[in-house]
Amino acid sequence: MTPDSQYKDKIDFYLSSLDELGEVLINQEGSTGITKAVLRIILGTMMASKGAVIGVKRTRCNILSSHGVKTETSNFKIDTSQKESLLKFKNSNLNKTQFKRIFNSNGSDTLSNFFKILDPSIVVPLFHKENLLGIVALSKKFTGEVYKTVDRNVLEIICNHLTDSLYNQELITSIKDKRMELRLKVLELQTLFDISLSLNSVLDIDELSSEVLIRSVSTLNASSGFILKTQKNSPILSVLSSFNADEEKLKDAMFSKSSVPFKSIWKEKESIKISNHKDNPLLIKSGYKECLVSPIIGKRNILGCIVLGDKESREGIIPFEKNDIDILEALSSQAGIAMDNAKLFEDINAAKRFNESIMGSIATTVITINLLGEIDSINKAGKTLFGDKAKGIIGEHYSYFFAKDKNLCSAIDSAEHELETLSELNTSLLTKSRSTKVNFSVAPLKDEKSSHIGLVVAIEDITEQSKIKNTFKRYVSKSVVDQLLDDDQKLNLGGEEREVTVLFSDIRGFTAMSEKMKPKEVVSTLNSYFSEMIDIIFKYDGTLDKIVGDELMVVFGAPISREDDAARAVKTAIGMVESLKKFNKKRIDKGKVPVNAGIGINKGKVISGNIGSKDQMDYTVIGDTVNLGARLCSFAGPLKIIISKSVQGEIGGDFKTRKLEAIKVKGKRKPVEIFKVLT
Amino acid sequence: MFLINLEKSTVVNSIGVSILIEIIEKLQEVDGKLAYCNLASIVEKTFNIMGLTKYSTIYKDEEAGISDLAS
Repeated sequence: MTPDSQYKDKIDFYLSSLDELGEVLINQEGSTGITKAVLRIILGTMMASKGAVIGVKRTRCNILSSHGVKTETSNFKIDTSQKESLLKFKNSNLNKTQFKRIFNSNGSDTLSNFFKILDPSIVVPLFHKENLLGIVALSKKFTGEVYKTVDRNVLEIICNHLTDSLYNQELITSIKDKRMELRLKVLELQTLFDISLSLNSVLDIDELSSEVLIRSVSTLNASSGFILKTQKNSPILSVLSSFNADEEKLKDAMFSKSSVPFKSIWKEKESIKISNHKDNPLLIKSGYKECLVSPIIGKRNILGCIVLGDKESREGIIPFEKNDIDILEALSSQAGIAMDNAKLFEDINAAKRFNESIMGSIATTVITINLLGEIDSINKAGKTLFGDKAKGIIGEHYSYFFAKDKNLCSAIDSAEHELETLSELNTSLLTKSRSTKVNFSVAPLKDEKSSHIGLVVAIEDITEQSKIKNTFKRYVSKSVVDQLLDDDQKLNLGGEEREVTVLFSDIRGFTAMSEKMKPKEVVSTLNSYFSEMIDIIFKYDGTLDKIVGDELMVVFGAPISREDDAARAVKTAIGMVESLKKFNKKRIDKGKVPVNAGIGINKGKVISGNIGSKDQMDYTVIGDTVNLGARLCSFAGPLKIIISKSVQGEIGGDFKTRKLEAIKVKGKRKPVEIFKVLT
Repeated sequence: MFLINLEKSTVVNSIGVSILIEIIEKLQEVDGKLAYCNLASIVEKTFNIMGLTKYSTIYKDEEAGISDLAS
């Protein structure tokens, strides 16, 4: 073999190696694959038995690929000074003496130690600009030859390509890292977005706070956290929720907003990071090495704070960054809005309950109808009025629900179109029953901006009252009028003289009694009292002449006289007293004041007829007899009946009476003889 | 395929995600696959945002995952 042909073979050998390298660089994917393949080419080309490709990141070295050498670890340390020394050999290589001078440090985890094991003959630093990306180290050739210049040159070419490849790998990794970072940012934004969404859907403070806390802990990689809440009238902060935290520790700890570190947070209203303060009470109480505290700021005051502790990483606990504080602040401000909202919602609910209880206590039925004509609400009185029918009322159209009450439907219809209040008195409510009498009114419903939002229907059940009123009508005026209409002669305005018996009753001490009661109670007491009394008056065919305040005037014998007028009057009086006794017993049982009425009865001549003005005309009786009757009533004690001699003479022995001392009456010279009816 | 039941995980942070990504990469080298089941909605959302779901499968529950694995 001539030196020339030997030289040519060598060149062919190197060229084929470079060709293979090109293919590897184009086809191989992933840094390990490339470094493995490149190391194989290097070892083959250089005919070396052992070698390694080492990746360098800052001061950490990592065996990317090795051959013929075994170590316990693949990670080593490299000093900054060693890196600086290598920089002199950029685009070049080091021989044994050169690198031994640099890599002379001790320690099993150092790169120097690895080189002791590998014992390389040649070392190539892989620099991209000033940045050391890796190192290629080769042992001596297995042929025993020394590395020639041409070997070194070819090795350099291969290593330059390897540098490019490592640099590309690094770029790809950093793009991957950047993409990861970007995704983390998206996650942070999504978290903020999610929380603002839950603000609108979750209104329970506990649920919200735990959601905010979990999101904060996970977004910031904190190991745990808890939320403290301010309490009314106390500086002590209570634990609202906690996540991953040491519950026992929190239970025992007492946090006060007037102590360190909360005092300054409350004052400055800014988030803080507490670290390197072994004496900080919050770190001691929570057991954290480091923590972030962010105040939850409400509209008016600070509602509490979020505490996050100990940021985790793959390498253990690391310090929180500035960015973490910003994110936590964003989250806690959301929490502030949420807690304000939840409080507002609670307040609104309380106001609603208050309104509902007012509506519920009203005896009048109140129904609201929306713009679609559907019934939106009905109060308690309404539910009572309609009974079972009220069950399906909500959402039903008014024209269906009140189908039987055409007048009510047309009133609702007109009120809606005219936007006016319409009412009707004493009308039937067929939806309930034929006998139900009501007053109703329909009014347009407006919101705070005065825009029309529906209608409100108020229905007052007057069935009971109308019974009394109707009977009053029948007996006091209507029947009298009817009877009078039958007999035209009696319709003279001047009137006629006739003999009648008049009965007066009034309540003893009524003024004093009514002063002690509420007006509503006075009216209800009088109504039930009159209704009891009038029942008895009707029983004995008395004509209720008038009711003035607490006073009743009843006439027996007008317009039509009967023989037993006086006897019926006395029977009525006795019946009234007995009924009152029962009535009072019930009242006393209920702790109410008894109603004590006194009754006076007189008989004699009166003038009867329609008396009054053209507009207000009443059929009544007037005269001395009437006046004396009223006087006798005022003499009667509680639940006592006083009658005049004329009455006593008429009733004879039918009732037991006792003569009392004669009384003096204004306008009469002689004292008037009076009798008490013994009951 | 590896199936991880995340029934008891209420939430996941980025460290958890990075560990899972590493597992996915390691499995890809040996043609393996990673799958999860019983994900909480926050966890599933996080996985989506972090791009995990492109390289792994989510099953409703263990049964669904195993039956798919068997087929």
